[in-house]
Amino acid sequence: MKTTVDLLQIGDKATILNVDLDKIPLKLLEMGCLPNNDLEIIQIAPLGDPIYLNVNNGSHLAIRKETAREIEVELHEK
Amino acid sequence: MSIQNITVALIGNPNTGKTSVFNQLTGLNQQVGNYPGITVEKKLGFSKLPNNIKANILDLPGTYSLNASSIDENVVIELLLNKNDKLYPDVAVVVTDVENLKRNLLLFTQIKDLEIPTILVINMTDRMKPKGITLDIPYLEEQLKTKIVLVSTRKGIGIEDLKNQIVEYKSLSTEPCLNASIIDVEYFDKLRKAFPNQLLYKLWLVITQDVNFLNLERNEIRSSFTKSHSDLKRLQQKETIKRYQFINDTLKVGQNIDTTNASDLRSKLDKVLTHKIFGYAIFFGILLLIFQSIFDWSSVPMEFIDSTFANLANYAKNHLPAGEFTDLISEGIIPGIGGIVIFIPQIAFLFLFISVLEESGYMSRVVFLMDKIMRRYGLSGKSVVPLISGTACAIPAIMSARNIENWKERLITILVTPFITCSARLPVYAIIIALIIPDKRLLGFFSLQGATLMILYLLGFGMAIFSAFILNKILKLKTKSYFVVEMPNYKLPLFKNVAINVIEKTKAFVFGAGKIILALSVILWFLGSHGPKKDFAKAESVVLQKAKIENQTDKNYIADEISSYKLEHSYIGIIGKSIEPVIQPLGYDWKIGIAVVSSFAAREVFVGTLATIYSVGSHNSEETTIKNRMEAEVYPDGRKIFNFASGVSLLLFYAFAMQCISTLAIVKKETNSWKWPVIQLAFMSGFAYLTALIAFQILR
Amino acid sequence: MNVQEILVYIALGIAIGFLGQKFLGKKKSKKGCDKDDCACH
Repeated sequence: MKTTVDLLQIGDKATILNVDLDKIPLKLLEMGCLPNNDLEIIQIAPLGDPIYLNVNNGSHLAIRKETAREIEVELHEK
Repeated sequence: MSIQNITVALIGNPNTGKTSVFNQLTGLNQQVGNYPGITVEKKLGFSKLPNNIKANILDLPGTYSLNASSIDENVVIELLLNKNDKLYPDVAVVVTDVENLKRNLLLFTQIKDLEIPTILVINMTDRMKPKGITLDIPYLEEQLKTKIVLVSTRKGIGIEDLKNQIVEYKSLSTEPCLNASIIDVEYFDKLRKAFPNQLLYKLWLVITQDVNFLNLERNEIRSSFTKSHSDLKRLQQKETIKRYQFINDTLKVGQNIDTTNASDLRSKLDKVLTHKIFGYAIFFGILLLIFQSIFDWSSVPMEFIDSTFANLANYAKNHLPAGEFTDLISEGIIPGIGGIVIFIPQIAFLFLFISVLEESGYMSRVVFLMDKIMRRYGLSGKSVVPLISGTACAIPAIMSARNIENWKERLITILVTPFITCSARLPVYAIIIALIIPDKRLLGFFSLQGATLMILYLLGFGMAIFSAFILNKILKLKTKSYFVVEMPNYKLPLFKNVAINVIEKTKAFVFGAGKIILALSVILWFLGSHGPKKDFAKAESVVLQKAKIENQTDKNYIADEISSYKLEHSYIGIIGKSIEPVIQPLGYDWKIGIAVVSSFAAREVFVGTLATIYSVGSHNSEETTIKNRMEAEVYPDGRKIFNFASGVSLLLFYAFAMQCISTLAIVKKETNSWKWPVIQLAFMSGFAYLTALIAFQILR
Repeated sequence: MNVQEILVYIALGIAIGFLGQKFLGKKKSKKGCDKDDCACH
């Protein structure tokens, strides 16, 4: 199922399909947020923001909801 | 055997232990300064290597890539692209974390493209076994075209190997490890033909980044090879993908991870520490623990410092040849320095705790927990550290706001931090509270005096948040920047790193604030001990005459009265008297006025000045004695000067006033303009005046 | 003026000079900031 990162739940795993280059900083890509890489939602702070995730099997980082909204992913079936 | 001097640049992602490597290479031979014109720390150290080679080691700011997204990352790229910079490295040492090789190597491949001799340090090798990681070093060295040194700063192994490898830097390959220009063959071919003498990657960085150059005309390149903004971004994405492809292919063969027996402490801890409820509870629990400990631990050293300096002042007065300069030393300089040193315990302890929290990786989780809440008030999750540090001293606190990427959030953090109750306000609070709040306990448990102190702390904090909120609405700053926080592995803090960090932060306070406070102490002493010749010189005769009439023979009493008279007729006394009409509505008389003016140097000077004004000998300025004298002070009509109303007014004034000149200086430095400190001064002073005024008028 | 008084005035001069230089001092070279959030302010 196609969705965006801000809509994922804790524990969800997904593969990145597309990142909007105008809305997402290059830094995020350089930290592993590239199309075809996997990610996993580790924790979500209260009110859904920020989101703590593990991208590309090892890069642990937190981003704000507004940034997560711009990352299109394919959710893995449980 | 000639002595050679080489420059080594330490580069790497944050959280790779790069600083530990730096500390272990240089020991305490470090100097921290600033890069000219910008507020980025420049860490330079010195190391003696084998074969009589001396090395200047430059610890560059941590960065994830040469594509800079902040000014400190910019420093890295500015240096590496400028061969004429005197710190341009002879060899680059890229420090990586064995658990994060994939991401760490991105930067490595970029550095290789600059054709600088590069050594790859793989740090934290003590984690390899627990995580089931094995590496084929010869394969990796061949693919990455480098020499690899396995290091564990925690266990202290590998540093000697690193030193040996650095010494052999001339034998390192300067070939890039991959050819990134194939992302757009046509474009890069054209570029190569137009500038055959320049490194292709260097040209690319100039086109995509905002860097200054001495030997390349940026405009020249940009105009003929410009691409649209979105095209450039697409190419950068392709470049990043290309690099990761190379890294993935290399690691697929060169690295093996067997997770069957791997421990995953990070996930287990994160579940608790970032939990919706427990996360916050634990954080506030830790905060309480920190503050309690700081109060408990610092009282003993503070008393010791207090009495030591008092004795020193006494000694100076009695043993140095009598005269004005001796007075300056014993009454101005020594107390001035003492006033600075006495805060070192509190500040050092606070930074000890913060440093431990940062080194352990916990701080990132705090930023994660607090970001959403802070954003509502125009701050960032990263504002937590400056705000907490402000309880020790605003100066290192404001400096630590540098890691907030968004300029507006950083500016607001800098502007509101001085509202936080810093340690210098405590002596003022202590004496006023002792005077006007009864020493009773509520329900046998809560001390009224303690509760008042806590209210003052909360007021400071509340005001900081409230002003941030207002500033957020008022300031129209278009800033576009992104919040990306790495959540590093939890680790036990390395003592050496913590110690060096605490020393650096304490030095910032001592030398940053210290010099200013000392200079002001000298000036204030002068203004307080000199006055218009006529009145001032009469001091002794007037007091002695009065003493004769009153039949006073106590030498100490007479001496104190002379000091008091002199102060009243000194320049500072005149200033105090002249501002009396302005401060009377707040419930203060000219004597308090003098103390308030003097405490512009440093707030704690307030108490010392009061001691002089109320002619308590400066050698035995115990609070009880000052307190008694203050209690006895009355207006001509018999009303007490220090009553509940005026006390509250004073407390509020000190809670909100921007008095610390040293803070003004640091705000100017960090914001690079006079505009902000002036606005801060005006707003805070105005607000302090108003609240003190209202409080006094209502309560009296 | 005796020696001690002279020393006091020297100390005073140094203190005033130091503060003056700190607060009114040399202008640092300004880099051109063409983007708004270059954060060099």
